[in-house]
Amino acid sequence: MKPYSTNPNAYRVIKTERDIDKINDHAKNGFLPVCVRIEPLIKCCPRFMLLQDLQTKEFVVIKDNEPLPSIPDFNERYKVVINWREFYPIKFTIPFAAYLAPPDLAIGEQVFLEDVITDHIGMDWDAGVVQRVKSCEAIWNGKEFLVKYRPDLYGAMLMG
Amino acid sequence: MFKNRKDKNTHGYRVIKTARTLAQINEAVGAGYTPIIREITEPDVTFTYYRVVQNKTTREISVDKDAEYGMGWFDPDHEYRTALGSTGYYPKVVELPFAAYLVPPDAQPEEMFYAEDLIEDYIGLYHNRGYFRRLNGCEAKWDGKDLIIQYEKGAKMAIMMG
Amino acid sequence: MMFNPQTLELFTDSGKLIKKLNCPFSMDWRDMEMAEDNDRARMCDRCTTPILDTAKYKDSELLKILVDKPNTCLKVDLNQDNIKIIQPKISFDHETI
Repeated sequence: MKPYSTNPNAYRVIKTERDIDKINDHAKNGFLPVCVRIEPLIKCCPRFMLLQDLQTKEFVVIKDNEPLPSIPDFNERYKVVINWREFYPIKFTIPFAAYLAPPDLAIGEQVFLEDVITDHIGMDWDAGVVQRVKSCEAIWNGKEFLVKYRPDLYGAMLMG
Repeated sequence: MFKNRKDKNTHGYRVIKTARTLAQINEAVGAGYTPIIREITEPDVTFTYYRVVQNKTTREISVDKDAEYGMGWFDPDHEYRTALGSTGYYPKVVELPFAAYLVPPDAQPEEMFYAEDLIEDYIGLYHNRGYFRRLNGCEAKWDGKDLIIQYEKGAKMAIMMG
Repeated sequence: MMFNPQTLELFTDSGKLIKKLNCPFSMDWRDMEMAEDNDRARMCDRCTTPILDTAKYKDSELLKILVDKPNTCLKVDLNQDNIKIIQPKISFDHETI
């Protein structure tokens, strides 16, 4: 199993909320929103391509982090409008999100961030794809979650 | 004050809409429009700042979208703390980094339009405190194949003092 | 330098192949001692050979070393500043891509 998608030490799971109204709903329920900036790391962004169907004139988006469709007669039928280009796979209007710290979280407690806000490079060796780490362990220091990112555990470090 | 300003539709030109999702673009294609695709790239200049403040008692957050130099937020009772300090950001990319101007099917070559939602980034306003505002709309000319934004580089649309 | 995650090949910035990485063992870089005569490498206990930290080398240096000793082991961290990830090429030829 990929380490970054599991919680191998069964730590308490910390949720992430990316909608301001929902963040405040959780605040009303006693959680402490811990705000973190979203700063995209280009190295782990997937790519998209924009094509135009020359027959229908409609546009098609292909993303390399999704199953690729079968496109017969590609060269004859489609025009590449935007060639492969990185994009940030998570929607946001303002670039921040919040971890929801439960009220009884103790300083020094180790947790599992289900949806990491900061970008860290991970690698799916089976698919040969570099991608952002989705989940990760962290430590609560009373003010913020210190992400315990290790490149070797998430496939970003290799030797040979 | 707005006479002959390219950033205002002072001549009453037809308005060009901008589609910012694939669904909107394809809907326009179905309606006979010609989408002129533009990639969105981050500008060299930071136009927009945000800051996140948090109520010390309720822990609820608010986003101050005009946070440059502390403007836009006033907390006389000191009920709030800054959760995230003023940071520049690019506000226009929500889904994928491209958008399209929708040129109507009866557009004539050399016809002038007004693009009300610019995809490209241009400086629209200079402030003597050193920050900029992005230009929202501008006149544009359809040349039969492309929409040429009639932005005059170096021309100051407005200067604010204070 | 550039790294292809699909083929595990490391290239110079100009596209010359430095090495295809292949280590059959699960070694932990953090547990390795610094090499005695090289502060840009750590010792692998398993193979008793130094593993070069590519973050501390230039392309040209690694290329020369690997030409002389093709079995030299390298360590690559995708986070390091001097590495660019080569996005795999995806083609849309006739069948499913």
